[in-house]
Amino acid sequence: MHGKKIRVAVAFAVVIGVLAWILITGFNQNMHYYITIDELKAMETTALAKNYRVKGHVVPGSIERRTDAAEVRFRMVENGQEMTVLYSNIPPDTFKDKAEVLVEGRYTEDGVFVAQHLMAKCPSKYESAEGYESGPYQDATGNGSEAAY
Amino acid sequence: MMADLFSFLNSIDVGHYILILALATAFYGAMAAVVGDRTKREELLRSGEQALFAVSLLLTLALVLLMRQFLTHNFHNEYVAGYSNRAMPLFYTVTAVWGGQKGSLLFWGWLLSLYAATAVYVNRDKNRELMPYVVATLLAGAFFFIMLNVAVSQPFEKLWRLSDGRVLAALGRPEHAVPFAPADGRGLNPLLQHPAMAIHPPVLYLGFVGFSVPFAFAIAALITGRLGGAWLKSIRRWTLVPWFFLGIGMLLGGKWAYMELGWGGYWAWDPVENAALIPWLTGTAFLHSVMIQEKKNMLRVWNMVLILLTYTLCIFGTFLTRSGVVSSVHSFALSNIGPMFIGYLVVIIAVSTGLVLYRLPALKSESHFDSVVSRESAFLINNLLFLGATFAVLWGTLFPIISEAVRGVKVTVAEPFFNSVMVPIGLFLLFLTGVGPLVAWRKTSPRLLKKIFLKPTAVALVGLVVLWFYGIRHVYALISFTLAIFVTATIVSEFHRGARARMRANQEDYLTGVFRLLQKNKRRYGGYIVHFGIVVMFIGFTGKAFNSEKESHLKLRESMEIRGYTLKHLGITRLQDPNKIVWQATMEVYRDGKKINTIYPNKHYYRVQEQPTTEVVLHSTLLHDLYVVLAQPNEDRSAVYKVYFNPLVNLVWLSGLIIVIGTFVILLPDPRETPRKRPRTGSGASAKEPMSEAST
Repeated sequence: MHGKKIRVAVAFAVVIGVLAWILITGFNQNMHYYITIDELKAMETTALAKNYRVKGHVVPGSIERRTDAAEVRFRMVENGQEMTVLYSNIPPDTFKDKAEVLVEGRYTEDGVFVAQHLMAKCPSKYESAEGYESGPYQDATGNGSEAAY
Repeated sequence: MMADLFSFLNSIDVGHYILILALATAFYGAMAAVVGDRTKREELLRSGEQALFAVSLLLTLALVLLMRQFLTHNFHNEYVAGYSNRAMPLFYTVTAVWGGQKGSLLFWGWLLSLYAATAVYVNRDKNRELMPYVVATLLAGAFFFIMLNVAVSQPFEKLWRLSDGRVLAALGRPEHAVPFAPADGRGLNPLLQHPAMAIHPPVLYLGFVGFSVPFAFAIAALITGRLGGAWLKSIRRWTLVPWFFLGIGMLLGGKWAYMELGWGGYWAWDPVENAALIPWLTGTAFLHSVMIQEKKNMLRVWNMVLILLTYTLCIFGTFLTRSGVVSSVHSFALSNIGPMFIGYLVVIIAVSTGLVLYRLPALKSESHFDSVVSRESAFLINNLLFLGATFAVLWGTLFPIISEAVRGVKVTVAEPFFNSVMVPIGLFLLFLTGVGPLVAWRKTSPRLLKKIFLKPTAVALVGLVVLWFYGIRHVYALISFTLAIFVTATIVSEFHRGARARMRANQEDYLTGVFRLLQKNKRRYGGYIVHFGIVVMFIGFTGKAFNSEKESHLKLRESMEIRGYTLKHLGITRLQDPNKIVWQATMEVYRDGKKINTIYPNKHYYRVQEQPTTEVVLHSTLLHDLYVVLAQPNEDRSAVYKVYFNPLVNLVWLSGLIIVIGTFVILLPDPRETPRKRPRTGSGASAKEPMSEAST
């Protein structure tokens, strides 16, 4: 009876151990740091080999689309700091002027951020971001976008 | 002064007063039920139940009023103006009611009241000891959601123009303001105007909300100390139904993402998706482990915790999707409903934990595990894996917040993390899907093991060899397909064994045998059908290992090739209507030199929202999809295309259908449940099942 109990306990312990191991290794291999544009620019070139996630807003009028490839180049801004982003894929439909974007990728030495992933604010959230009329309407409801960022 | 107040109150929409009335009724009902039980006053208790029915009527009325404002384009209502416009088709005008936060919270509360009313109506003459607390718990949940609608997220808020010209939204008329209604509303985001997206939120809510009922029964069992089988028996269907809706809701969401978002996939481990997956995982764990309690009266604490946890995670999931706490990528101001949700979560967790600790001595069970190779331990390992998966998804979703709070650094893990963790867990679960239902309770002898598993294993190994020679070298894919064959073989052998036993015993022919099996033991064989659905789903998931994609810039009459298909670009037309500009490309699809299809990938630009939508076109067969995206239409009639070749993805949707069928079989009334009382103590009850025959 006693031996059986131990065997059952060992079996469960093995399962839990394997689970923990999968979780920890999976985790350590896939971490990405969020940093701001000024932090990114201040970095040593050696640190740039890593992937980072950066958030900002699309500078109005800065989006350039290529006509012979799915590729966009745009500037994004946060706290007055700007950087140029290159994304060689189809951007999501929500990607447009002033959209809030999140890019994940690498900052290159020529000052261009080469993004592997680009996310633009989810539509159901994005909708409430614009009022009928500028300014006051947004302040009044408290969930206008600019005030909240 | 009085006149001012009167005019203010008069300007508030009647819908809001209805919500206040519903709030008061919910409060009264919960109190009446509890006090009625404490003082043994039956009439007070019944009055509490009536209050619950009244709440669902009032919320129905509120929802109808809101819907009427949508249908009549009453843009004086801020929410109506924000989420609909005149150009929208009727169907989307109706579904826009739950398109935003205010309406979806009202919708949530309404669904809860319907579930609650149905559950209480069905159980009104059973479980009399439990019912007062079931009613009170359900009403407490309803109270919380109505409170959100009354206090912070008011669906009947109106627009007003102040004397200085500013427009603001307020419940009643501010001083010196005049009613304001824009000429047209802003409309629903075009991305959300898709059939799957219109029904996906309600289906998902039916899942989230539905777990309120088992939660209420669990709380009632804990409070009254009636921890026997009765509460568990009453909630069997009440857990299966929300579990089902949650799963189907996720599939619909995946279908929407696949058709509308244009990136060729259907699941991205987005926090909003994870919010539904997390309670689904614990719910699935509960559906399995509850069987051990029924048969062996084991794991009583565990099951109790699982169902409480599932409801908590449902509320937490709603909070995640609705508050924007995670999807935001920086320190966002928490949306206004956030603090109330956190408050409610704290209450649920505190009450649940307190009650479980209080009843711990009564909940403990005496039985224990006899052997590693038994159905009990298969169930328990299944539970460990489901909880491990829950923890992984939860951890990955919340890690950005945790790391920011603890270390001040914002770190995230994205898709690769979830895939690297969930794929092995998923495959192990798939393996258990084959093994678990077949091994015997208590202990399975090696001889029996051989008898059960020899043939399925042999079939699976043959399958593996075939797959290898077919050229498949992807390790996970090989494992997944082999396991899929194994599990399918075990399911087939179960049906076969059962049907043959019936043939011998009742002189039935084979097909009648199979049919009768389903009819006589719906839960077991319906469960096998659901399992088969899961197998098909895994095959569909595995197709992802063989995806390929290709991008090409094509001038007129140029073509591109992908996986045996040739796609020829025949030009672009530009169409427009008041709503949008449409770029439509024409493409011919060839296979083996023969033209098999003409497709028209589109890109729309919606004028009001200044938003493009990519209208993906599929050339779809059962075994693969050719997924064509018009990435960039050009004035010179050339175009950039992105084409994805997605093998087996249709099996994912098909699996949903199989799961629907299986779940219906399980939900059908089972003759074994009702007519005669079965002894609750384990083995006797399962004596009829072929498997147990073999084990004795």
